[in-house]
Amino acid sequence: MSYKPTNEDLAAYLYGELDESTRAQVDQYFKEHPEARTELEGMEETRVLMSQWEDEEVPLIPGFIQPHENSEWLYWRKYVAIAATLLLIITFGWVSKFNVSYDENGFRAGFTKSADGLSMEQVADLMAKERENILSEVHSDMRGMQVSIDDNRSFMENSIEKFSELPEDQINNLLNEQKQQILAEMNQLSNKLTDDYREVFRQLVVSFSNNFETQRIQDLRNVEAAFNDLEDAITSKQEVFEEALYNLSVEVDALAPNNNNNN
Amino acid sequence: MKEITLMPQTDFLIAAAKDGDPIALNQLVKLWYKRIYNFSYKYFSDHDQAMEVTQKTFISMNKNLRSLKDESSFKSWLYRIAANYCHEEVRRQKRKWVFPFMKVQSKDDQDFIQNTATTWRESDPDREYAQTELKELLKRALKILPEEQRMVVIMKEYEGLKIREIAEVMSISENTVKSRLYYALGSLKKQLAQWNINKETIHYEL
Repeated sequence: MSYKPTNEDLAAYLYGELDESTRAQVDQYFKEHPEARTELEGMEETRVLMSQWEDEEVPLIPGFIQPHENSEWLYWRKYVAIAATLLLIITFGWVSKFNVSYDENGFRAGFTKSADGLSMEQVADLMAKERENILSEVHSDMRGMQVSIDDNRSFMENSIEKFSELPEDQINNLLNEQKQQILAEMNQLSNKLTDDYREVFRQLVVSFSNNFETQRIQDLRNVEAAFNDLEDAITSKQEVFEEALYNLSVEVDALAPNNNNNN
Repeated sequence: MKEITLMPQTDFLIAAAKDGDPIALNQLVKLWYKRIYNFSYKYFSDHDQAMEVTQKTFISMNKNLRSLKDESSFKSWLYRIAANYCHEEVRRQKRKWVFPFMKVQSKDDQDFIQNTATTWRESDPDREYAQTELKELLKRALKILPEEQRMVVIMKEYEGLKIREIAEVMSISENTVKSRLYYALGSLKKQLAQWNINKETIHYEL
């Protein structure tokens, strides 16, 4: 019974992974069947050709970044951070008495407790009332103005009527009266002005005389001082003169006997 | 076959990251980001979708690392997350109606990444051109594969997972993985032959 290697055996043979005894059998078979050997050699050649495809170079080998030792903490850290933030917000809200509420009246947010606001109807009522007040005030103001305008008009109409009724001489009298009145006023004004001028002039004279007096006293004092100086000067000159006289008499006295002797 | 360098410090880093050490976690991301990105990129051939899946995968890793019981199964656990997000992304894209101009934009991004990737490597223009051309063809070939085959092939060919690990990631039997691998390789071989791609037409260095 002759051995014929299976395809599997041939593949293993080709790669040198066949056990010792089977390999010997295959070798034996190849000796008997050289065409089978040629067939396998063809495969071997294919393998050689295939091995010409060399490895590709890898463009970039990345590295892994390992998480830290305390990865448990890293995992929980974000939750702790969120909790801390919430706690902070709540504490801040509590400290600042921040209040948020939502009910049928609507959403409310504010510091310290927010009081109940007015309802829509109340606000509308208030607005309507306020509007009525303003309107009535405006109406009364307008009425007052109307009345005063009417008064003025009637007064002016009356005056015109009066004037038109007066006779000509009476009008002249009236004008004369007015004229006299104005003249009297002008007189008064002129008198008043005259009085004022007089007072001003008097004061001017007084101040001038005062000034003049002080100037005179000053001059007299200057003259006095000049005289005093002159006196002093005369006295000193007199002394000098007397001393000179004395010196002269002494010299004369000294010379006199000599003269006597000579004579 | 290309060997994926083992990451001996991964176990230690996982233990530290599980205890909530951010440096260990970032280190873990740095270690695995390129793998998950390339896995998703090969699955979608699209930078944006690959980035989407990669980012989702590491966000999920950061969230669920504590629930990982066996530290040695971290690799399959991480790929399972990525694979699930890949399926989800496929479902999402099927539902989504994509504007044509958006597609253009993502194509630009791809080109940009390809260009930066190629300039970063050796500057042999011939080899670069051959690389780019082959890559485009391989992309197209992978795209043709059914999704479950594509994922298995990528995990095996480019991510270097063991068949047992792939079974674990995709919650399927090891035999299913093997069979999918076999059929996928067969399809790829046929496809490449159809495009006249072989050792002679593609001058590669081994």
